[in-house]
Amino acid sequence: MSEVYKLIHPVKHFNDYISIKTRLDGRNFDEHRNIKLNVNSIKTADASAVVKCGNTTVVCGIKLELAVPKAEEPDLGFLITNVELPALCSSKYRPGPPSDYAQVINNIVSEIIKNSKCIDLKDLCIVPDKLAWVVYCDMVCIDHDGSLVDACIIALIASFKTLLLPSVNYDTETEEIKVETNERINLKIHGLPVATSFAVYEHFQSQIILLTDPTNYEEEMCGGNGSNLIISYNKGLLCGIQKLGGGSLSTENNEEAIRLAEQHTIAVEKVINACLEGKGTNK
Amino acid sequence: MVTDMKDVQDFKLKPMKCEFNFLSKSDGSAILSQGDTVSLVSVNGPLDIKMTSQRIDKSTLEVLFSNKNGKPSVENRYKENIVKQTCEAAILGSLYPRTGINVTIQELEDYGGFLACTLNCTCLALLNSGVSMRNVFAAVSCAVDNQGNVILDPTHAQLQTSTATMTFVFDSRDKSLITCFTDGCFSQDAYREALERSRSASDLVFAFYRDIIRKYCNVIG
Amino acid sequence: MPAADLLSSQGLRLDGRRPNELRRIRCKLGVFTQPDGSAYLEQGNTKVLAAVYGPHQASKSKMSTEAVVVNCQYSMATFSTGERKNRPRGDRKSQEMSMHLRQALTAAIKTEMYPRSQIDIYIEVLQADGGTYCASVNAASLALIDSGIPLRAYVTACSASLGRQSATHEPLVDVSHIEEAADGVCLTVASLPSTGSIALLEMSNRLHMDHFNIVLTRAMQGCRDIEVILDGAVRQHLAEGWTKQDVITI
Repeated sequence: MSEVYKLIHPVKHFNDYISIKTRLDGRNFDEHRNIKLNVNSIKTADASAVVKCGNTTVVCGIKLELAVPKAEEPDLGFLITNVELPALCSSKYRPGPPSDYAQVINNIVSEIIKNSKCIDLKDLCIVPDKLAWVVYCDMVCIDHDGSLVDACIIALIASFKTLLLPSVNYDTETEEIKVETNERINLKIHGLPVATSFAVYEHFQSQIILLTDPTNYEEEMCGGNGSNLIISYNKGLLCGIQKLGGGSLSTENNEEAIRLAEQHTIAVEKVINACLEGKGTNK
Repeated sequence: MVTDMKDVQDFKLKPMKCEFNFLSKSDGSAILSQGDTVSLVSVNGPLDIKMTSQRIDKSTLEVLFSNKNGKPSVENRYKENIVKQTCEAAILGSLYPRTGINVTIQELEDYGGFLACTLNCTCLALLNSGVSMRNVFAAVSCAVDNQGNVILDPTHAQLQTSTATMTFVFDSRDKSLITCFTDGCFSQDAYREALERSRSASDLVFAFYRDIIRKYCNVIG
Repeated sequence: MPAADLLSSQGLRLDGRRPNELRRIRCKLGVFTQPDGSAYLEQGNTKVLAAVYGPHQASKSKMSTEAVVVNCQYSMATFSTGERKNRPRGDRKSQEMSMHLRQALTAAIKTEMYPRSQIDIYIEVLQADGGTYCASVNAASLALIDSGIPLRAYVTACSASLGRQSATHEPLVDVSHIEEAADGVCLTVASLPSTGSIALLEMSNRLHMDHFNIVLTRAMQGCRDIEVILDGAVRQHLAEGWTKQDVITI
């Protein structure tokens, strides 16, 4: 019966749930879904992580390659992030070139990583002007159920944390490259960026409701272009706030969002650290 | 970091200049300069679009952004998305179901705060085209310099030394935040200060809109 | 020709398996919420995801009044292989794979049940270690069952190669990546084991006619063995699945 009601009167159905201060999956407004994290599950990648935030599942794999640095920035390596939304992950996407939405998500994720300065590109340089690492980070969404950016950032950071760079000997005279795969060092990560997504719902024209970690359905009810508000933290500093579409925020809503994002960040940091220590799944 | 009210009131934006109907063939167009930054926007619509992109409940908004060299890029898609989502909140799309509204943006000069300038220009072009709107919107950009001070509507030189830039878009009715996007790292306090100062400064933009509309009404009337 | 070093003097293969031994298969149905049917399958170190959407209305150009249109897309994640793949899909190899998948799966689906409709089957390879085609067919078979689309029979695929131990030739079932790379013969069969029919047969490298039959028989035996494993997984999924689903939908 409820399913029929949802199909015939989607907005009223959604409003009814909001009125009794609960969400379709039984969560409170400020509650996020369970996070499951598993690292190094893909052996062909240099580092990898699989993360599940509720039903949203993202696999991140990192591949390393060597290249010559750019002439204008001889002491910097390369960090290339790419988010893929294959047709597999949702019926919304058709096979073919990346959709506009995939490109937008891609841009948001790479900007968060760049702005958080969690990786110093200088650390990726081996010999200035001669040799540097190219770190390809490919995130494949295999099940899309909202809050994609959060899941992508968690998967990416967890992979970074487990990434070991092989030591490379470069002979400047013969230009010979020797990669010692047995001697590996950890990549330096500065901080631990975490993104928090919200859907902003305008309830009866006036009341603004912030839904933490929205599902795909909730995102669609709030405009249909992904999460409306994404707040990212790294080391206690904000490293990106995106507010797009959905209801408009007053000062109080803004304060509330920042407070919730701060709490969420601490919780996610705990999950990642616990996973890396125990190398298992939790929370 | 402490802002007293005097400081907040003592704000200034870069000089704005606008011309309507800059393009003769489009339904509405505007060219806006804010300091040295210049943007050109044309609006066409509501018009007929292909069946697959029609929506039964509201008009479909399409935004095309082209920068100076004209090459498509991932970044352009992101900017298009920002403009699209901002306009969607402002336009009364439900009045024009099964139609499309096209917004085309051309970058002319970028000396900082380009997206803010573009958003304001888009709002003016929409007003010029006569598309029904719920409210108008104003975009204001801010920068945080390396000492942590917030600079309102930064110049090109100030941007070179800044650690973060933020752009806010407010609606005209209750000055609530429609859109926000940032670049770089900054503290919560800096964000709050920038937000409040931009909110106050948005009055100047709305006043400018009113002036320019009044001017054009007189010419026509 | 059978490569000389595929079998050790003890009759064991490069990864320590016996000639007639499959790699370990682990699989799970209904892993995702968005698609109508989905499955995850691990065959040794090859890890594959399959999702099925449909049947839904077919696009006008593709629509057939006779039977359902099966649309397959095979894609390999950029990090799935030893060298980074630049194009996860759309290159010639992926297109060929997609086509072969479509042919094998169309043979199993009761296509006449859904005229004017379309079924989309998407395959994502997360880790490749030889036999990606076989793993893809097996995963897709499970995903189709999960989606509830009527099938004639299980469709399974298995590969086989030929090794040589002193003078005797020994067929090897379920070829792994190192065996593929050793330049031996590789015969891939997709079949409907319970009906005994072959849906697709493909072979690379040279093989003497005398040995063809034993290699094919070994591959077909592999298909039958895989069917048993898949059937077990489906039964187990149904046994535990129904109770769980009831809890979720209420």
